[in-house]
Amino acid sequence: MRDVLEARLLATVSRLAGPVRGAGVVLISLFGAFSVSSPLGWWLFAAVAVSTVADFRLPRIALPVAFLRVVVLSVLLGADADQWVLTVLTTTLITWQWQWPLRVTIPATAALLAVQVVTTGPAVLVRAVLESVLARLAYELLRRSSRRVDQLRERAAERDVAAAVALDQSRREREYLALLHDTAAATFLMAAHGGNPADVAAQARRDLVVLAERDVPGTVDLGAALTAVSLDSTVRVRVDASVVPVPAGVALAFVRAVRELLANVERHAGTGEASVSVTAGRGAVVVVADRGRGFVVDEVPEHRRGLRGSVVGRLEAVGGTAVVESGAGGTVARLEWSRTADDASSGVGGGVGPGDGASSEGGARPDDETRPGGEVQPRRGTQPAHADPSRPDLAAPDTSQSTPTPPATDQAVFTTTRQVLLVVVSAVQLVLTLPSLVSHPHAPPAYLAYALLTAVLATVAGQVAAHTPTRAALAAAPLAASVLATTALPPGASFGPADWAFGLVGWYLLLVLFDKPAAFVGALTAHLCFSVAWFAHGGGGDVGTAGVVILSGTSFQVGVLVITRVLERDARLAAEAAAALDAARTKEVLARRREQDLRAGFEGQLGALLPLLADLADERVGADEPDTRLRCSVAAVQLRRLFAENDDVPDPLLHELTACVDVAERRGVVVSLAVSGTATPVPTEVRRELVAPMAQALAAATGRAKVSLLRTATEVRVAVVADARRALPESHDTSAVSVETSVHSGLVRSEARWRTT
Amino acid sequence: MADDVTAVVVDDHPVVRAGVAHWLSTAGVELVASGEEPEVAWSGPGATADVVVLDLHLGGVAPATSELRKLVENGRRVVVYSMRADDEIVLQCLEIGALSYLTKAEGADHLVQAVRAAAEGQSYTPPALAGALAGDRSETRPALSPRETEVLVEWFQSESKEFVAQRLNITLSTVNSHLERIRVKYAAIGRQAPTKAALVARAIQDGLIGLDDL
Repeated sequence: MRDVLEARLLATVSRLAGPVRGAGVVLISLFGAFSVSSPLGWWLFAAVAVSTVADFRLPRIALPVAFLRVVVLSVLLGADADQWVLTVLTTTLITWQWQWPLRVTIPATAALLAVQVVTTGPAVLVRAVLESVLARLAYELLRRSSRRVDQLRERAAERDVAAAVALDQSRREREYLALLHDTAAATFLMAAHGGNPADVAAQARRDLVVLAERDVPGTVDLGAALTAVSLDSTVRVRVDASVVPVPAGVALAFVRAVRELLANVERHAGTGEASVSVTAGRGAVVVVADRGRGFVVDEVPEHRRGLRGSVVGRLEAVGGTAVVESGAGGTVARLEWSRTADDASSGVGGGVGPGDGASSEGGARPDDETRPGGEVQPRRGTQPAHADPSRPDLAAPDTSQSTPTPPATDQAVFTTTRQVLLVVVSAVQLVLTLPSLVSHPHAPPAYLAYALLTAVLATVAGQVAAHTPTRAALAAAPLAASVLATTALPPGASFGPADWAFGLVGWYLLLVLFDKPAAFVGALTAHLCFSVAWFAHGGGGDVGTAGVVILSGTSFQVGVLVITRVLERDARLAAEAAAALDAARTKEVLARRREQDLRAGFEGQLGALLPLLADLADERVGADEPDTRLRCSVAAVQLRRLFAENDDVPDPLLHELTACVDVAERRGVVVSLAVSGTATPVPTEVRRELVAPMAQALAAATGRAKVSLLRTATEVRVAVVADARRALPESHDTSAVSVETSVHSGLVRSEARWRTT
Repeated sequence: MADDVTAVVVDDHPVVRAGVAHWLSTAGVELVASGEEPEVAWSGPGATADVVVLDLHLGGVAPATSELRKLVENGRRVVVYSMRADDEIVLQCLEIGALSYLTKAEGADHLVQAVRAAAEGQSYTPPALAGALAGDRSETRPALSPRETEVLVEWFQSESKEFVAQRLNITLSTVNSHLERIRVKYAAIGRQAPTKAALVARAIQDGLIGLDDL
């Protein structure tokens, strides 16, 4: 997956560099030998041809062979064939840059240039160094561009994976919700209807087994669960609970253990007060403490049995530990459970606590306390799929990874290329061709051609400045200039020092047509053919030098064209990758948000409801008690609202209200629902706060209730007026929603208000 | 005095007509005509009935607002009786000049009170209509005082004026005059209609509302 495009580009360039050098050198030497037309020339051509075996086949010795080749040519030919030697030299230097790293090419280039300066003088230096630097720059430019595409693609792929993980998690939790619907919700409704207590208890026991078996990591908020247990206790309990999501089976073990510990406080400690704290740690840490009279753990048989079976055994069965210390200052029980690699599969049936007391102190503790706390260690339990939703990197789009700049479009690449070409063409025209034009006897049309080309330069410069496109038809002007300038040359001067226009027209064609490769190649070929035809018409001349000039001139222009095309392709791929990244990121954020909404809903709800289900299963409460029926009624409405929250409907608030009304009606309450105003978007957490008081009052209603939803321009108000006498929602004023409850002539009115603006 | 009130019912469901007839007769309102076509309110005994109880959906899908308009423009006192409770239609009927708007979910009690009030040329605001007024977001809605809004909302939420009076610590008649004042404010906006003009004129005459409040 990693660096695909960059690796492929590097491999291609370094593989082709040798053959390109080999082919180029052979061609140049062929023309060079023609030009020299001496036996020495032909021998040298043969030697060069043989040496290219190294370029094509033997990359290991290709560098020294190429080095020697240039030195031999340079020493033996000297200044006689400066075009030949110079072109072989530059070809060698350019292709080296593509094939080897800088630490190889810099010393090799320096050594070769030193030899060259000694044999032919310093005239070559400027051109050789300049072309080497340009070759290296072009190479690095392509490399960086490809790397950027790779990075974007990789990030998009990572996000795609993250989105898939989040979606999968969301799907699993929805399945769990469906399970809850079939189990706990049905049981609560049955109890609320006044079902047979024994049947309700049996069903609650079956529910607990099913819920614990199908553990989704972190489905129950242990904090909410133990808060509910504490509130239900006859002992006054000070609760300090954070949100700690754990599997349902683990939560159940804690609920039963803490229930037992609080019962012990009530029975034996001689104090009416205790404290319960719930913290996350590496899983969950619960401390139940009292300042009662304490006891010596091993000396109290009754305590031993209760603690062993109900506390230590239960925790061990889900892979946790329990340590109870007691003394004159009171009793402290520390219950711990750690998230481990296979916490997803550990349920209530995960193991049976051994009957022996020694094992609780043994090495079975999943997390050795001597391990350094700050250690950053990848744990399967904290993979993204299981991670705490409050982690900011999962909760929100990661801004640190956002694309630094908008993806470059083809147009941006083209504009930049055209600007660079403008500079190059201006420089070539002024610095190189103008002296050549004025220092040789040209016919008048040559000056017309020069003026024509200057006009093209001005036109393109104007278009670039005004951000208007350059038309292909403009290429007709350089072609016309080609004809004018070529025909105006002194006799036999084609491709010689007086031929100022040959290379320049090629650059002009590139300037106008580089974004249309086929048109460029066609126009360049036409220009070339006319120049060659004129050369032949004039009786030919130094064919070899002409060939070298044509080769070195056109190869540069074609090279620029190739680089532009690659850059343009990269820009397009980068834009695509950036779009894919955006899409994946959006998908992930949506999935995460949905998952979080879902979780925040049922972790807390199930946490609060699990103790009630456990009480029903353990027959600590019976469905024949009015109090229990009321609690079950509230639980049924809450669960129903939770399910409704996850339905995808146009008016979720009304949908959730209707769901609660539906449960109350099934209980035999006559409910009328009135709605006014148009649907307004309400955030999930606000919706929860708006619906909860109504759901609570409705669950307590005995005969009639009126539920109303009013949406004005500035407010959303949910109200219930019911004949409920107990378990009334408390008035409060959170940051977003204010709840007001009051009782008048036997009717309770509870209203939740949220200001939309 | 109550026995003097006469009404005509236009509804395409025989069961509804029978139900309404029964409710009105037990409350001492004389039903002089009923039928499924609006013609019953224009000819025979129906033409002189004090109040027209008009079903807004006479068989068709489109609400019979043009029928309502014709009746109102002729000075008839109309109570709209409808299956539909969309706020938009409710507000539109008030704008045309209906004295009350009842949904069929609202029982006999509200219908009787609405008909009695209409016979006097007065408005009646049942809870659903109060909800529609409280949720009104239109640009042209009249400015209500905070107290008026609160009465409107509480009435919508509880359906019990005694409950509203207790909650807000006011008398029952204060609750009613708040509701009336709200309706007068609504009558003062939009299209002219004889019933609306009468509502406003009487409110000013009785000192229920000042010109400045409109």
